[in-house]
Formats: sequence, C-alpha cells, structure tokens
Amino acid sequence: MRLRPTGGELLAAARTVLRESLLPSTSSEDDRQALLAMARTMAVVENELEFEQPGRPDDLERLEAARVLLREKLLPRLPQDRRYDARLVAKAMAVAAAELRLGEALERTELAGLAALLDEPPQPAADVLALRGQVAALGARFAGRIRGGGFDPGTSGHAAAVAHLRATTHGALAVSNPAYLKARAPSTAPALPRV
Amino acid sequence: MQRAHVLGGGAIQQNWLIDVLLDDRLAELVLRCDGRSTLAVSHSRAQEFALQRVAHAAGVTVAEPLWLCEDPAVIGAPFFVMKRVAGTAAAARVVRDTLLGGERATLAGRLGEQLARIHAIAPPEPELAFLPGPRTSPALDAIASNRALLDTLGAAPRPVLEWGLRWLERHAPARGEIVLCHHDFRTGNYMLDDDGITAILDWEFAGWGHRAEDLGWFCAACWRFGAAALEAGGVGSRDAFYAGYERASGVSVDPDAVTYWEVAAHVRWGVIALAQANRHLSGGEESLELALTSHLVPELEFEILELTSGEP
Repeated sequence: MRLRPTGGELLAAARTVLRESLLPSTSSEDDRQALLAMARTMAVVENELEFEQPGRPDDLERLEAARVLLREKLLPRLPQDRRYDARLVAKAMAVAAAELRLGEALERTELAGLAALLDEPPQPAADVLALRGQVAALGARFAGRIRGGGFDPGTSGHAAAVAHLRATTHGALAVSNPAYLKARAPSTAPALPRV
Repeated sequence: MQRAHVLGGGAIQQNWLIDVLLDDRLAELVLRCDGRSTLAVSHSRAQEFALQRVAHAAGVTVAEPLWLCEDPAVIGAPFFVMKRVAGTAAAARVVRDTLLGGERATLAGRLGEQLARIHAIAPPEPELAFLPGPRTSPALDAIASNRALLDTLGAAPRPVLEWGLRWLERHAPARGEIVLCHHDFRTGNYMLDDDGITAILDWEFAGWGHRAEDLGWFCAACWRFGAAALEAGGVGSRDAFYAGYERASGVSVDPDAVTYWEVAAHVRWGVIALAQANRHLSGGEESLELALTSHLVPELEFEILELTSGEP
C-alpha cells in the first residue's frame, strides 16, 4: 500500500470537489466558466502525472495561474461554507505542480543517498515507476535498520543517516509546503521558480 | 422536548443541541451519541460519560454530564446528556481572535491550571476502572502502539518517523508516577467565550499516563496554528503555561521530559495523519481533505529532526 497519494490522485480528488461543491455554489456565469477551464487544466496535468511524462512548462504555468485565480479572485466570491473546500483544491494544485516540477529529481537523489547508506551499488532506474519501486525497497531496508539501532549514535553510518534524513525531509517539504520550509529553514530552502 | 438540532462535524460522534422542559423549566442541553463510524481506539459513550463526571468532580471546567442511557432501543445508539456550554473552540479563531478567552496574558496559565486538575486524578479511581493501566511504561507503550500502527499501513517506509521512534526508545523515561492524561489537550479542544475557558472538550482518548505527555502535546510546534512564537498552543508563553500548571499542581515541570513528549507528539500525529490518508488511498473513503493530510507529515518530520538533532 502506498502512503502518499500522488499529485495526479490529488488533482483527481480536487476536481471532484470542484465539480460537486464549488461549481453548484457559483452564480456568476464568468466564474462558472473560469472553474470549468480550471478543471480542464487540472485534467491535462493529471494525465502528465499519471503517465509519468515530464510536465510541460506551459501546463505548469496554466496550473499555477489557475491556482492564483482561485485563491485571489474566485474564493472571496464563494459562499463562506465553500471556502474551505476552495482552499483544499488550491492546496492540491500547489502540491501537484511542485511534484511535477521536482518529484523525479528528488527521488533520484533519495535513491542515490539510500544506496550509499546501505552499501549498495548505485542503481540506475529505467523509468519513474522503477525509480519509485527502488526508493520504496531501499527505504524499507533503511527504516528497518534504523528501528534495529543500526544507525544509532556511535555507529559508522550515523552522521550520513542524519544528513540523508534532513535532505529528504527538505525535499518533501519543497513539495508539500514550501512556505513552511522557508519559515523554518530559510538558509536551506531551495529557490523555487516563480511562475 | 421543545427543539433538537444536530451540530456539524464528528463522523465518530454526533452532538445534538436539545431544549427540553424539565418541571416546566426550559433546560438547554447537549446529547452526544455514536455517529456512523466508530474508532476502535476511542472510548464508548458510557466511558466518556464516566471520564467527564470524574473530571467535573475534580474541578475541571467541563460541561456538566447529567444522564447516561446505554439502551440502544431508546434513540438507536447509546447516548449521554450534558449541560450546554457556550463558546468557540475552532483553533484558527482561538489563536487569531485575542478578544476571546478573557485576559489573554493569563489564558495560558489558566489552561495550565486546568491540566493540573486533570492530572490530580490518579489510580485507583473506581469510576475509571475500565481504563487499562500502562503495560510497561507510558513511553514504551506509546512507541509500541505507533510502530504497530505504522506496520499495518503497509510497505511504504517513513525513515524519519522510524528515526523519531528509535530516539524515543533510546531516551524513554522510567514508568514514573501515573496520572489521568487527557491525551488530546491542545488548542482546538477547549472552548472559550469572551470571559474565559468554558469547557475542556474531547475526552475520547483520555487514559492513564505521564503528566508530561499532555504538557508536550499542548506545546508541540504542530499545534500552534500559525502562531509559532507562542509556544503554549499558539495562545501564550511556555513560561506562563508552566507557571499555571505548577501553581495548581505543586509539581515543577521538567523541561526535558516535556521535550521528550514533544518528539512523541510529532511522531504520534504523523502516524495518525498517515492512517487518515490511508483511509483515502485504500478506497474506503474518498476525501480530498484526508488525502492532503499526508502532506502535513513532512512538517512533523522536520520538527522531529530539529528536536532530536542536538542530543547524542
């Protein structure tokens, strides 16, 4: 079982909320059209994520523009009881865009780090799916060895393990909540492209 | 019965506002019963009723529990009735609206006092005989249950949560004195009106434990709702919270013990968040909100690494 919904799944769930909660409570025809266009953009990116294609810069830009439109223009015009849903949709769009931009590079870095920690030869992954499988397999071994005390203070791998955990956590935050990373660790936060 | 109105929220429990005539006097009450799904780890309504009664008798500010009905034939599920209390619990409002809760400078201290009164309840307490005692120690019990829950979620690894659990195992305090812990004492679970605290809510996870468990949970960075500098739940200073606790309990707070339970708080909330996301992933319950919960976990992991990095 996977522990994290992928960006594509988040967008799919967000489109359901958009269709079932936001659209019926929008009275202006312009806003309805804007929401429908937003749903189409989300569907395009969802496809790219699902088929592991690299995100096209145009689509990323459209997704980001749609998110800003939702948060800044449409959200204040929604009834009070739908604004929480709108915020959830905007959050899903932000996470999906970050995953499309950074996800594969982060996973390659994580795999290289895991291989080094576990004394495994570097494993080139053919595609993103294979990459994800290898990260999961080596990650499970790493987690098991942590539980058994194999990276406790005093072991040879301790310092490298701390460095790896910090790096992967910073990477995960860059996808899940870049603002948090900026607030808590301003010096280490990667510069994010502004769209 | 004059009026009945269901309150929002709570897939696990339902709360109804009811107005009833008792001896020709109108009484404003709340009826609490099981919702459509129940959580194995949370207490039954009868147990919650007992906890709230004991807490009320100990001087904790809670809605006064009045009657319990365990016969499901009456309304379809066991329920209890308590007096209605006015106020706001929504965490974002509590943190932002500083006119709530009376004199803000003293709120953290008054919350510390409330917690001290809960912790004054200790075993054996006949009304709470249903609560299991700690098997080994509160710390080791918590590690074991979090590992067990992580393992049931499946194969996808969370090395930082394992790192936190291993750190907790290496630093686990001895069993120590056992008191009643609320186990979800945080901003969002108490109610305020313009003058002060009107009720401590959500007793469904209460149980025997170590007093620093609740102190750490309340102060953990994940429960400050955007007011990171106000380390006591986003509403006050840690010093004021500790001072209120110490005044009412006569026990001095051990900051290292609180730090230990802050690490445990982030680990526990991380494991619960993954379990919630899993409810979305495994198809039982499709929900964008549950799905996004897993994206809180990196923040918790960040805090775990920060808190554990300074020590051997």
